[in-house]
Amino acid sequence: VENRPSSSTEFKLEENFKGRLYFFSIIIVFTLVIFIFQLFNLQVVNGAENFLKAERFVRRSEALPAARGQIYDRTFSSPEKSFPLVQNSASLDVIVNTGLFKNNPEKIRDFVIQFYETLSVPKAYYENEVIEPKFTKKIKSRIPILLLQGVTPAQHERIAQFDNIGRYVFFLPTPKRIYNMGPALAHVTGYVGLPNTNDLKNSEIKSYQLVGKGGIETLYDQYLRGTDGFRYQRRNTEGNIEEEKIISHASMGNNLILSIDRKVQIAAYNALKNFRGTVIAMKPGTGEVLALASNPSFDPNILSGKNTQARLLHLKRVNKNGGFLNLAIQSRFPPASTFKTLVGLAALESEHKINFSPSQTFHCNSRFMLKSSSSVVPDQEFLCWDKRGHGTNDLTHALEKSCSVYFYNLGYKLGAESILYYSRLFGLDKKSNIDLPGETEGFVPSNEWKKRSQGMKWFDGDTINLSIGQGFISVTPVGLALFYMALVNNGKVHQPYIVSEMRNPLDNSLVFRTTPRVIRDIPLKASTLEALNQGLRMVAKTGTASRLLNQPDLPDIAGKTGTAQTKRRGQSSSNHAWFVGYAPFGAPVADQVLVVVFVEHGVGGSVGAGPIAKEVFKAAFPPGTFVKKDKIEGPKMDEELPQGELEEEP
Amino acid sequence: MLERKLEKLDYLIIFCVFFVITCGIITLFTQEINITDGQGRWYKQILFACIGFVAMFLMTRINYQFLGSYAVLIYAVSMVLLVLTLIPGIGYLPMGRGARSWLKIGPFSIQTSEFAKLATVILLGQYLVIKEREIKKLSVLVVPFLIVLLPMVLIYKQPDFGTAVSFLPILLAMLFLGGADIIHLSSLIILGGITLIVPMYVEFTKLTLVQPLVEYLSKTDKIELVSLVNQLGGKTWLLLKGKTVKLGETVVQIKPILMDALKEASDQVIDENTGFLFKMFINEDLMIGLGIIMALVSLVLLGLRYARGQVQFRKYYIPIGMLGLSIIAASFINKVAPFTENQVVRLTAFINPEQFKQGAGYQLRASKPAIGSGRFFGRGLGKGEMTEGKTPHVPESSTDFIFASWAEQTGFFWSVILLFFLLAIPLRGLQVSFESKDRFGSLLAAGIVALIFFHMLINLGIVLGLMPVTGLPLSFMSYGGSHLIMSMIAVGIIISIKIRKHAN
Repeated sequence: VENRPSSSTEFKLEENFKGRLYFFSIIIVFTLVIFIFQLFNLQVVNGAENFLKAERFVRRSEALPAARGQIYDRTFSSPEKSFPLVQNSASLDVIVNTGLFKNNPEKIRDFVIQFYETLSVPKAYYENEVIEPKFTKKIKSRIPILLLQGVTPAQHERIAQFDNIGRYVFFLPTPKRIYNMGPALAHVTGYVGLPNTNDLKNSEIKSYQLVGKGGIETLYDQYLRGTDGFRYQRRNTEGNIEEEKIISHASMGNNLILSIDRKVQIAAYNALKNFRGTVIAMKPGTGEVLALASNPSFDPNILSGKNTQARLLHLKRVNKNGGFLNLAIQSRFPPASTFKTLVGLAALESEHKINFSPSQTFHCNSRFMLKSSSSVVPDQEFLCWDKRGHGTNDLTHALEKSCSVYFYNLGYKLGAESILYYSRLFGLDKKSNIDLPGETEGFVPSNEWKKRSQGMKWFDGDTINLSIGQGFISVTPVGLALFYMALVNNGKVHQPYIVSEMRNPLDNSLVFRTTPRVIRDIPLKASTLEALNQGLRMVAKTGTASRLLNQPDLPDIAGKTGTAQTKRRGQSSSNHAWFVGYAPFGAPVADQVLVVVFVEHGVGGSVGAGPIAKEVFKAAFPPGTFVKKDKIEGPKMDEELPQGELEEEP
Repeated sequence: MLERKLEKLDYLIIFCVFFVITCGIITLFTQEINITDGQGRWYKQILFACIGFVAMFLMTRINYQFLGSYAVLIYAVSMVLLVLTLIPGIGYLPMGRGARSWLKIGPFSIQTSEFAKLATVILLGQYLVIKEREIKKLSVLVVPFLIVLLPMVLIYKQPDFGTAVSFLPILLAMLFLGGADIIHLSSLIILGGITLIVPMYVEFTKLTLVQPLVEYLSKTDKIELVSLVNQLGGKTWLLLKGKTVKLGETVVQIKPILMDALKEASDQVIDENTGFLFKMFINEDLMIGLGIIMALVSLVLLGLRYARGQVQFRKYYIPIGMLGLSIIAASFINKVAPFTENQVVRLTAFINPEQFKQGAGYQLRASKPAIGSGRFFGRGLGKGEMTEGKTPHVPESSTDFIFASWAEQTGFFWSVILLFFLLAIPLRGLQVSFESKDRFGSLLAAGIVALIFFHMLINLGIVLGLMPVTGLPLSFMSYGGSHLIMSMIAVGIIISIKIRKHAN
């Protein structure tokens, strides 16, 4: 170790030191450059993005969900009777206030256990559903935990007794949809639920909103949904709200007023309860639907709720028995004897062409022989439903007795072309465009169709089958209703509709009103209408449906029964039953109500469908609202029975 | 005479300090402008600044060479103050101020660690001047290391991890400027780096393995372990090591069968998710053995050198020995006192703040958008929504994260201007060090520059999201009297050196 420094060492040290000072200052400058670079990166390059990120720290925008519009029936205009079919009700949910306890999950866990014990909730439930493995993690990351849904007043009282309950939980009112008619109107209203991926393709629908699932709820979803409001919340670091600003208030969706008559609807659904079937009641003068029921049905109250075990079970059951199918518009069946009216109409409208008049008679000895045109094929025999035969009848009486042989003759004389032409003219192969989703159309066959799909020409036997509404033709109940509407309404067919008005919930002002619209105006001769309507009246007065429908507490009903042969031979219960009718007969069309009843496997038109129609008419015309013109008289006819030996297609 | 000396005052550095302090006070003022019940930090800071200016000018009057003479005394006094802080009843922890211990003297609370920094720098400077010519020897570096180690340990006990660690770069800088051998310095850095980084890497990897472990367990029949691991998080590995682990207040107890299942699962997860290096690192016994072998090899090489005078292995024995020692140290840390989850998060969160939503990760997640939201011209003074108020979104926005507040309010333009003034202070200090004609003045100025610069480097590095979160104030900006006054005294010393550059 040298004690005496040489001057060269001194110089070297000095130089070394200065070099290192330069190095140090370069580091400082370099640091400055890096900091400026990073500042530029944060503030200028990514400035806008960081600004948005900061906004998310400072403010949280929160949707204020709009209430869905309510749905009323036609009694809306008289407030004392009015009562919504579908309404909103706030259900109170209890949610854990995780923000305050994010560092203390144990405390909140103890609270939760105590909470459930107070409400005597089974331990198994909360240990599996609430205090699950992710519970602590949820608390730590401030995910709200739902403790209880739909707090009852009694529960609320018990919860309120906790010390400092407000520190632990908050109560969140969540809108709940209540369907007061339950399954009775389910096919009309539909239900609501969270949107699926398909719904979310519509940018207006937010993932937290409820959207319609079927029925009016789907079709009028955009009007019912309303507009959500928004609020900004400034939060501090503890997650507590410092400032709240409502940017826009939620505006409730529009209220809908349906043409449905609640009493008729309930009567229809109750009458249907033990059957698979459907009822449509409408006003032929306007097209308003008074009732549209279909059974089996579903409970929209259960389906609109949270996805609980009960909901899943219900969903499974409904799916199994086909409860989602609205038979009135989504199914089609052979119209059977109800089609005879159309054959009669076709004949009357072309009476000159085929040399026919209403007074022309055909004799019925319960069978009709179709002469074969070729010697190889044997003659075909078609039976009437009544083995005793109906004797000689004109058109009115043939309708009254639903004499098949008469219509075999008439149809054979008329030819298939004419019958099919009129079927199409009355829209039996078209959708009714009623304001419900998922409608299907009826089917009217044709010569070309048969050739194309079955490779065979149209046989005379097909015409014979067609003339009693059997064979290839099939109609939807609503389609059949529209044909009968034309008969009641001088050939005019109104667009059927369910939603008659839409109103603003705030001031009850009218948003829109459905005006009755004629969709078909078919010129029909007065004599035709007279003859057919008289025939229909005879059905209920003295004919196939008279035993049930010619009653003192019912208005004068005109209508037609039908028993649709299904393919299962020999099983009488496999026949479908129809009844189409209107009342009061002879009253102005505005006062009349048209009813179509269809019962799957309902044995026979008057047996299966008649009693249901009777209930519907009773509900639509309470005593005192109608004048009976005809006296109750005449022999009661036997009820129409299924035509067991009907020939099937060759 | 007096007037002549005043002319030599370094007005540039004074102006820079004044400018930065003013920016700090403006920021503190605007943070409370929108609230009625503020703490009045801005006027307290004005008071501190006034005291600071008085202290600074007093310092310029004192010949810095007296400081050299009394270096040991100054150091001893500051160490006594540090010890006093540790005594309960004298030192205290203010609520909500994290890990910082204060000494209460009358109405004042003093952060003794701040003055310890300055005292350490003075003593280091004095020592390095004395040992100027022997500095190239490795053995000479032991005393500076001990000088620094004492306050580090005392401050770590307070506990203030960040401040304690901040002594290391100051030591390195002063050794570097004092002329220490570059090879020695880099060896020290490598040793320290390996000693700290390996355990950190191991603990960090373990943290990232918690989620795979949970997923693995949820697929096995030991579902009850899932909730346990979820709650324990990073502590799961401590449990696996057989250590006592507490969850809240209760000690976690686990059945031997479950323990075996957990061990099996963790082995499986480590096997699937990690590579060779990690598997080696977690085998501490193997690593300690390896380190011992390396240390022995270097000893043998050293012995050979002295026994035979062979020099061909000279290049190797120091690095091998260093590596061996650091591996031993790292494995020792790993085995005995592994880094806690909190420390790992603090030190690694800056790489990916999104990974750790809470704690240090949160600070960075908030700080970067706060700065960025200022964009080019800022939100405007008094409109710093991320950093204002009693509980700002950026925690510590009046102290450690004050730059975020300035940047948010004034934008890129004024932030760059502030950066220039900030870093002009150490640059000017270096110039003083450069021009000083005596060795102690040079080293003292350089040491002070290192002290101030590393505070700026680490603080701004943290705030700008470039460095691990440790918690150091930004000199002249951050709210707090002790650091401000200490920094201004330090600037006063620099001016004193400048005034007297031709005196001797």
